Amino acid sequence: MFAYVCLAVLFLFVIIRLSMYAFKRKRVPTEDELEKQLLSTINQRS
Amino acid sequence: MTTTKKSIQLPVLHRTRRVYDPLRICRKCRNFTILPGDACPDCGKQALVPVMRQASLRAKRKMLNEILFALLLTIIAVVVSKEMTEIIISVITGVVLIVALILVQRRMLSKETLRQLARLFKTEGKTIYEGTVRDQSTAVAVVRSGEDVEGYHMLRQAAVVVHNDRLRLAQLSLLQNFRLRSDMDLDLDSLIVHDFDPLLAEYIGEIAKIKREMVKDRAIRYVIAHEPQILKMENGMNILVSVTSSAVRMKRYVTMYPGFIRRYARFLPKDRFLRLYRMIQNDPAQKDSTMAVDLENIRQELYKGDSDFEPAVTGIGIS
Repeated sequence: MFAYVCLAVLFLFVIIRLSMYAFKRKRVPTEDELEKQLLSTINQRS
Repeated sequence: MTTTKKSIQLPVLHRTRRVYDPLRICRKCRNFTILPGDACPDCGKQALVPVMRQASLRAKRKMLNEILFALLLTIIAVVVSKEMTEIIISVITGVVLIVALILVQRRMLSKETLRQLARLFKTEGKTIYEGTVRDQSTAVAVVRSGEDVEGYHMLRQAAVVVHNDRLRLAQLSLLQNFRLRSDMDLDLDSLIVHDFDPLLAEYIGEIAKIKREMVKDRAIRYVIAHEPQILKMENGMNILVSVTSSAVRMKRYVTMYPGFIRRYARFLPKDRFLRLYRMIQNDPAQKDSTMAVDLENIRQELYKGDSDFEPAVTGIGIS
């Protein structure tokens, strides 16, 4: 019985991770955005 | 006042695809540097890695932890199984889910790396800034030690990510000590400062003479915006004429800045004036413009009877 509990947790864990990857896929910063982020990080302070 | 300029060989700036590509992090002390070199400028350890690689390592480590957790759950399920059927179900379920996780992770690695990089910039912003400040101080120290070419190159490398007038003026003040040549790897647009500075005006004039293709919109606009101050300079007129001379290489600039071109057309060398004259003559839209009238007057005054200006000549062959 405990084995099935572990498998259920594993199943939930994998499903949550896969959903997170699918969700985050739309919110990945582009290389241009990363450049802007770095430049503003450095140049706002200087 | 005459100044002696040094004949030097400027190192070529290695241009990367992205401005963050040359930025590196020390894996020991977590400090950042934009300058090349094997050892960390802060702790001296040879542990510098590009930020992109660091982000990739973080993404891989995060993914590996997920796989290990899934594997652990599978192993526990197998260990606590009481029957053979349970063991088989646990193994099959575990393998299928882990394989599915690995396949999705492999597809998402590049995106996860970018996310980790964004996170690194966000969480380590202050350290990155401090690293660039230290890089600039290192460059200034190198200049003060007499290695002004090396110091200039370091400032130039720092300027890839640090955009401020102080750094631009530091580069310009070093450049004025060098004898510039057309074969050198030089910058112009990235050195344009917000306010008027004679150092920059002089530099634009010099670039206009040796590498006229580098004089583009930003430099022309800067010169036009600060024309009265440039005219007050000892060499001001030469600078303005050189920039005009560069601007007439493209019809677009002649169309965009006609007032400026007209003001200095009279002072252009013959070949540049001829180019401008033909450009306007060959453009039906400009034939009756003020520019055309002005150029015709200048031609009558300075080049009357010159066969080079005969209308039979077509095309623009000089650049």
